[in-house]
Amino acid sequence: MKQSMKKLVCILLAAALLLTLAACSGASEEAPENTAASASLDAGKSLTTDNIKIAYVAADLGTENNQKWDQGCQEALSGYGDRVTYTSWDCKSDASTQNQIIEELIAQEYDGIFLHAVDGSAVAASVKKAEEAGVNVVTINLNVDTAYTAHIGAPNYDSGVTMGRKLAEMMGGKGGMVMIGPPVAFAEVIQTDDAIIDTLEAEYPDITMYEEVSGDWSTESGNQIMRDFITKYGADKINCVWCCNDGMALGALQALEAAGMKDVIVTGTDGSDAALESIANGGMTLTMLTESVVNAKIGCCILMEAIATGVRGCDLAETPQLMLEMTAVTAENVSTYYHP
Amino acid sequence: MKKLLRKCVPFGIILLMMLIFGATTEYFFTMRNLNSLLRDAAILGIIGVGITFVMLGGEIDLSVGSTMGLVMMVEARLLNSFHLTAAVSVALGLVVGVACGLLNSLLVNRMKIDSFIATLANQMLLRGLVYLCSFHDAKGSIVTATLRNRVFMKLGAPIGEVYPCAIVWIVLVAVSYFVLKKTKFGVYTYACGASENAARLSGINTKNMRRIFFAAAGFCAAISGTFMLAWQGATTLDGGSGYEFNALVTMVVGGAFIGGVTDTIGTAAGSIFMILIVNGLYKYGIPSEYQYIVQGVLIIGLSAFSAVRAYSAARRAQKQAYAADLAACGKEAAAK
Repeated sequence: MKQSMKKLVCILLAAALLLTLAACSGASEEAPENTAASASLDAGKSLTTDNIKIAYVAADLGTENNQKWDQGCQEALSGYGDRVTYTSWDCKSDASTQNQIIEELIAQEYDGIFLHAVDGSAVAASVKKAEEAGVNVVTINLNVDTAYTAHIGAPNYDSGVTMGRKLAEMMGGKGGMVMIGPPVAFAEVIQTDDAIIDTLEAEYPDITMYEEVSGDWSTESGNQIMRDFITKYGADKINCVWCCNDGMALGALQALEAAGMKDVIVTGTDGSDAALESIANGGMTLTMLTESVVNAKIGCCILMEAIATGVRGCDLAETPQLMLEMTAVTAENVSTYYHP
Repeated sequence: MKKLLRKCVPFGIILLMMLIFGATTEYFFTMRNLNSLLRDAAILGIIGVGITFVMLGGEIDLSVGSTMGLVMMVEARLLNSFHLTAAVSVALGLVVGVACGLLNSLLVNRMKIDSFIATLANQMLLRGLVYLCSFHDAKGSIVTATLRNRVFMKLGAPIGEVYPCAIVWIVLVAVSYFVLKKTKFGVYTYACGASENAARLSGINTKNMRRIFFAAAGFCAAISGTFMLAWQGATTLDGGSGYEFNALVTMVVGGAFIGGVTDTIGTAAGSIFMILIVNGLYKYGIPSEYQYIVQGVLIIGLSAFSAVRAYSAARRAQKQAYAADLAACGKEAAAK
């Protein structure tokens, strides 16, 4: 029931975004310098009779989130019938490769790209070229520095504030905390850690934030960094560890268990299956869940509607953004989300 | 004539591959695709030109990818943070590239470190400098900045139908081929690669030669980085990484094509070949993991073909020498 409600809210949000798109396009029809936008509106494709080619360009298909987005795209597009061709592309976390792939998709006259950008600035030029060539682009998670069809993202700073308060509550308002942050290149876009630090500093003076160290998303790096924290600050000083993804949180958990520190609060982000299983088995304490499959489905629906209406993102004043909420999953509600 | 024909073999193979891709896929022979192909081959091929000199001179350079990344970051900072003009930024970027090359030669010449180790260490050192030079926000976090200098960005946009990097690449290949084949410097380069001791004893200043090889590699990496930056409009911390190995592979493939010691035309063919495989496989929608496998298999196949050809040539030469010896012995016996 709760999930159905969430899906309904998501669909309503998607509808609101489409209205925004339509409004933006409408505005451009009135503006004389944007006549191309109104012209392109007439050139939209029929979702029932025309052949449509959609690509999912993943930053790294090896990660669970990317795989779930891939799955969401496949599920969403299968509903449009055989006329929709879907392919997924892996960029191995390399911005140059992603640029090459986007240019390749333009050359192959794709209609839409669902993109998880490697770097919001480094692929901006390619996204702009795609939109100018009539290829609609919808991004997920990481915004790109140009105007395009739509962006689906989680409100990083706001969810960080919520998480900061939740952590403080679990710690009883006092104690020591360490953080395993995102790789340095992602510091700009992942602001959850900044939000947690700001919230704890402003609202919880009895909580000491010892240090934040950047990991590389992997379980190994989470394990290594946590071992360093234990050596540096001592087993009795650390009450809580926050990690910016579940993989590193699971690594930190391994290090804590090896050191016999069973009472430390371990939190992650993403809501991966492994993290949910760990919470269900009494390992991790909390994860911030993003419904990746649903998010990708919403993204694909927006993409298909944009293709149908002929909206060109490059004609919009700014990229319409759909921000999806994250859900805190703990031992209390894990049964709702984890189905082994 | 035979030499000329041998030079044409790699381009014949490339043409054949293009015809196959063109006949079996829908979007291969489009102007946009061919331009993209040429641009990507040029960015890789320009580094290949520098690497060819280093390798022919008997050394190796594993730092060109990091040099490229550093030049990209320095130029981006000069353009965005210091608001220098495009010409000045590019000039300073090229100076940085040459300086990185000279640092390699210093380590090899003065400190007697093997070029493999020296350039591997420099690869890490220069990557660290990329981090240090990168853009930071008010909180000190590393950020990626989009370039706004329109004059500089023109370097990454096609002039008419052709990207400027392709024109520069063709000029560089032609000039470097002339230098290798028609000048004393070219002869010295091959001599250094064949035997450094013999070259030194023959009066060649091998240290100076090495300095020029590494500086050329740094210079070419800087040119490549400049075009890459202009095309992408931004750079990341790992900008240029992986290009050192790709450039080495282009040379190996070039050598395999020609069937022996390569030159800059062989390396150019290797660059086109490498990019062509990726471009062609994209058209078939083959996932990247299989692309790596196909690339690996093709490189092994080419190298094996080259080795077999070299072995056959050696055997043939041996047989001819033996036959000549026999004939000489026969004549001697008849005379007696």
